[in-house]
Amino acid sequence: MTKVDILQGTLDMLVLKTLSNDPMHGFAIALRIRQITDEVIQIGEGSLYPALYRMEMKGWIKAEWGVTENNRRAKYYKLTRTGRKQLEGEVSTYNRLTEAIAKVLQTA
Amino acid sequence: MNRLLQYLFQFLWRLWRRLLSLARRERYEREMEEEMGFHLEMQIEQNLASGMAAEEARYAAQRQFGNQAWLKEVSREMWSLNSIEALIQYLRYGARMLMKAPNYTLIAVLTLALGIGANTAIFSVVNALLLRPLPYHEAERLVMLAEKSHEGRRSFIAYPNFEDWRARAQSFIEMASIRTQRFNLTGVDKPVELRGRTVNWNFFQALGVHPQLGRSFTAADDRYGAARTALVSNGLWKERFGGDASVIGRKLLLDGELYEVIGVAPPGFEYFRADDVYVPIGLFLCPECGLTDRGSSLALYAVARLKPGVTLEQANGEMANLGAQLAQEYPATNSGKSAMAIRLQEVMSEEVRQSLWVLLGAVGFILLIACVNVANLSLVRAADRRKEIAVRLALGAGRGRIVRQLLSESLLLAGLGGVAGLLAGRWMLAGLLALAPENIPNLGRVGLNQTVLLFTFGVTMLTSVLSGLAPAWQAAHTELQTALKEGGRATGGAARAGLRQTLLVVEVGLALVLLVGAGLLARSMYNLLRVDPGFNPDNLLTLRLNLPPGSYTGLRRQVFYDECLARAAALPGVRAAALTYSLPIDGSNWNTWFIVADKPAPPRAELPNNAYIPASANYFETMGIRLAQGRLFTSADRAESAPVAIVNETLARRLWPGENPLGKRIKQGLPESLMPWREVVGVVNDVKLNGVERGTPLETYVPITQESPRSFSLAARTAGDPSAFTAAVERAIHSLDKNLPVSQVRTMDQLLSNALAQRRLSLVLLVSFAALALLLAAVGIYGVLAYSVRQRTQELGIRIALGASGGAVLRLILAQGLKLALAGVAIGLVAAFALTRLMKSLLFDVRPTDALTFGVIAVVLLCVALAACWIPARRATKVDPLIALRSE
Repeated sequence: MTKVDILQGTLDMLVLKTLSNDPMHGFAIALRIRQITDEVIQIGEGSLYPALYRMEMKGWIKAEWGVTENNRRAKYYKLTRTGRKQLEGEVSTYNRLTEAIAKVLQTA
Repeated sequence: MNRLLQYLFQFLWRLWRRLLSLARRERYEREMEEEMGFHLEMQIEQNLASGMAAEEARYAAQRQFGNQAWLKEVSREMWSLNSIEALIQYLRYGARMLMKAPNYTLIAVLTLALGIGANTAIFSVVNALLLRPLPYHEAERLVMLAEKSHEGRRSFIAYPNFEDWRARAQSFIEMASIRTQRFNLTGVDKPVELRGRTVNWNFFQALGVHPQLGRSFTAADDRYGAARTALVSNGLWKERFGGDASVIGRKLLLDGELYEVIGVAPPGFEYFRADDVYVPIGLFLCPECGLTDRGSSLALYAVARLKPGVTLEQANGEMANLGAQLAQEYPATNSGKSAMAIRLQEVMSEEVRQSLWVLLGAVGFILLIACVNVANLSLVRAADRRKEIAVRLALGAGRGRIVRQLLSESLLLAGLGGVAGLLAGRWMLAGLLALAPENIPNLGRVGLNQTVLLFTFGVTMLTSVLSGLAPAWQAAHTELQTALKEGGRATGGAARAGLRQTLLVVEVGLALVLLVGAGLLARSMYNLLRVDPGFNPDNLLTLRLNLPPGSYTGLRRQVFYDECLARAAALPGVRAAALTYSLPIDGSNWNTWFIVADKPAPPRAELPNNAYIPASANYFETMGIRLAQGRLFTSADRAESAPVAIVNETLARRLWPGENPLGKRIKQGLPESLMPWREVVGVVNDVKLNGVERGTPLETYVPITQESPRSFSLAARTAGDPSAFTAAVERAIHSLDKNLPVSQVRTMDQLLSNALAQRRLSLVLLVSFAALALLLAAVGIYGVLAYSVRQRTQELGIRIALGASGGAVLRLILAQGLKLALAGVAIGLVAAFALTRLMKSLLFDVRPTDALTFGVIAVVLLCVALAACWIPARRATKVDPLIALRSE
């Protein structure tokens, strides 16, 4: 599958959504997104970590060092309350946008 | 509003995190390395799991991972470097914006600087005098002890009572009495009068103060007959002994006796004021002296330290009990009297406390007014930039970014205002201290210290929030479409105009309150200056002389008095000279009880009190005190002739209402005292002995030939400026006795001025603040109205085109401005009505709700508002309808 470039805002939204259930470390986030989208969206480290640090700075996610199943040290990211609100907002905006675009595409 | 607060918090939060990350940069770097390393490992594992060989797995992972260095750089940017750069970027942008509008910036910074500066100055004083603990060890545990008269007023302590308290009281760990005493220092080139205190040996101990050099007193020093010791002040030590350690053991000739210097007080030590020398009070407890008499009323107070765990209430209660006990044991002297304990800090600040709180309130108002003005200024400016902001929003700039930049602007503005305010405050404080009367305790501790700086910083932050909130809020609510359509002129939003107008009304109200306060104080001062002091204060030179104890006995003292007067009067330019024990206005009187012959003596607690004033025969004439009845003293009234007295009108009225006081007999002291009965031979008009603010005491004058005090004042009426005669008069005295120090040389004008010094300072300050508030309010009105006219250009153009006259347009705009001013005045009057009662104790002869003051101030404010409206109104009439309608 071809890789699709996505905007920074959309990337943030995807990461937040991925974290909406459980805390994960960076590698797991990228992996999960690849799996769910069947490799359509492959987030490189060059985009992922800057995004994670940026969101942490904004207070949307919180980072904590933890231990993986294989007893390795990894930095886990968790969604904050502000982040959850941000996610809701972005999802609703995105939905409106896609609806709008769909309408345009439907008309001849 | 919610959004705005959100932006504010986000902005500050991010700023905070960036500053934090700057500090923890190293740790972040390490963690980042670790995180990247972990990711790489996982990638390799996955590659291995999907079947690659070990080497291949590693290479593939690293390739996929991309340029690690570049990644690190990008991530780093997210934290550390960016934080400084972000900060600098905000500030640079803010500075650029401010420089683009120099007028706005200048006015805003100036306004803020004045507001913050005034607050800083006044707070410094409040901090030093009211808030900071006194410079003694655990000063909050120190109390002052005093007796309580039967009317509940604080009064002096009789030393024998103090001794009984000391023996019986359980609430204190230290107790020491203090009395003021002046000593003539002789045996030096220029004899001088020293200000001193006689104290119990544990006085310094009670305060927790240790001498810088030598030792403090011991109980052995504090006995009658002990070797005479003295502790000198740090200032005296530096001045007379050159700060040399050899001062210990040196001898001082005080009042003709040798005292050995045993210690030096620490620098800056003060107890209510700075004294030169401290001497044990025990040395003066001679059996027949006034101090050892339980019935005497000498100016003695005591200081005590509460025992740990004892509260002030408990101590006060115990003192009251002790007072009651002694009243029972010694009914002759103590009946009706009680005792009390008051916190020392409270006593030290009691004279200035009221004024200070009023002043602090006033500068608080000024700050609010300043913030309102700056907020309004910013609102106007933000409204001007609406088009620019709207365009930027349309082009994709985040709303948050806009707000962030506005907030950083107001932060920068407030910062500049704060720094300028600090400088202004320093300057204002220096001026304030220069004008302040000297006798305020602890005044030397006033300065810009840490607490004050912290306060200024807090105030600056507060002003930045208060004055930046409004424009930022506006920006957050900028409607894209309407802003672009209207092309930069904001008309919509009655809410927005309403905000500006509300702020203005509040501003005017605050200014009115300040003006009313200043007006009331001014009237009080005016009333005070019109009080008749009872004598002629012009061109009067006064000085004090203390004859050494045991000197000039008997007739020699009369000779001294006569010679003194003769030599002084003989000086060219001196019209008359007289002697008296108490000068008017000075307030240092010889107060005694007295009884009259034709009425039964009242119980001890209700004995009347008078100022007992030995004076030379020509005193009344010299001072211009009018004789109301009978005669003045003559040379016939001598030591061996019949004892006579002259009373003042108040005494005559109080003791013999409706009767002829001449011929009545009066005796000083307690009923059983051995003072002679004196016949009243004359009545003079009242003299304001205790200053023009206080009432007139009962006054009894006796000839100086019949009561010859060792300490007295010389008053000389001069032709022309009295201070020019100082040297001549001093020489005249020294020609009589070169070892006699001449002290407290003051003109009567100086005395009068000093008496009102503190009041005058408060008045000057409050009037300045009120004037400032008025100016700011006027500027505010002008600003709001000018802006409104600009907004309504189209509408005004239409009106004029339709035939409205210049006068009509003028009236329209004026009406708008006056409406606001009236609203402000109305609110202000209500607020002033409620608040001025708080300054009741500062007023003299005028009610806090004095209608005249309120009315005049309201009218003045309205006139100023009218004047401020004039220019914008005139500009409105000059609107060219053609241009107005064309422009958009």
